[in-house]
Amino acid sequence: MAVVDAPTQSDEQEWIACAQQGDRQAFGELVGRHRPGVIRVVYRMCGDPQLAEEAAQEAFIRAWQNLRRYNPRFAFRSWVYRIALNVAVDALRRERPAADLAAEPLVAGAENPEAALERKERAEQVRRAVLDLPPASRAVLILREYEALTYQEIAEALDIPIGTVMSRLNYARGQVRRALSRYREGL
Amino acid sequence: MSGHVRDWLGAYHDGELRGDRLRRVEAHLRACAACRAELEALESLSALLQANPAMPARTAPERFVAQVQLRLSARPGPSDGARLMRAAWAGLPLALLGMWAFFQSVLLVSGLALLALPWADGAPGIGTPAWPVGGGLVELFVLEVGLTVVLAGLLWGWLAGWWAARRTSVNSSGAGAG
Repeated sequence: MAVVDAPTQSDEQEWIACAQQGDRQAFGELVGRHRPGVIRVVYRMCGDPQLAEEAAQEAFIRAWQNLRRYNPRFAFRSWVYRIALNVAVDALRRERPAADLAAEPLVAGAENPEAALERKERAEQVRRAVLDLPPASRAVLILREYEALTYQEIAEALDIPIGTVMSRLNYARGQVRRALSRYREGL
Repeated sequence: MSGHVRDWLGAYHDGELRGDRLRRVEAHLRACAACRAELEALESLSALLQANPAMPARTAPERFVAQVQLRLSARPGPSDGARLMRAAWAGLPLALLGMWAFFQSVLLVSGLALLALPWADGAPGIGTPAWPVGGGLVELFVLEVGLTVVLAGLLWGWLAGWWAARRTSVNSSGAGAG
């Protein structure tokens, strides 16, 4: 079986350099690599799958337009996430309602209906609790909990001091705990 | 138990504490059941958040990449330096006109001052100025003409550059279309 090497950091630097010269193929590689993370971030930020895909595409287009302004001192991932978060906030400002998760199908076919319903309700409560946060705190929580960025990376992505990352994260966690404590013991 | 470490528990849970602060939080956790319970609650919250399903995939990765590539402009936008240069280049005609207006007003005021000086200085009879007004006015006129010629030359140079850049851009986009 052929083994395909995963792209390395130096591959990424090469793609960035080529893309900055107008190489769309190299930019396509960057899009392919960061697409899952960008879609996750935008989806967690706005809660609407359709909007998330559109916004993720928009984020990559903005990244292309601003690629020559990218500072290689920072991680490319943080830079793209920053653009994605801004695009998500812009999309939310346009006041499109978030999709109701009830419209989403139950995924696990073999699961018994009661368990599936309970899982779905829990997912909706969590989603609602995260979406009810102010965008600035929500962004920090998403980057930490779902993308596992370090505080330093979050600070770079959002252009805020590390102390602010900590305080926003503490605030966001406190709010989500309060919102979910009605449904979950031990929070 | 005094000196709870609740403000630092989030950072501890995220593995962001180092050195002395980390040791102090660890020592406190060994002795404080309330802070241990708080830490467990944070861990439960993280587990609950991370168990929340991700977005169901709607578009295949290859299709997503292709859709983005289709919407890209020909080249990425300019760098910050290039943007600054472009703004300076675009503002050059206005700057030249501003300089011309400034020199015109300075020369006008100087000319008027030259004309007024003979009468202000001892007030001789009208029509018999004691100051060599004519020579000064000629020098001012020469200076004005010289500056106008230099600034007009620069403006024409800018226009020629703009026209040449526009021609290049039209030709290259025509070639791209063909």
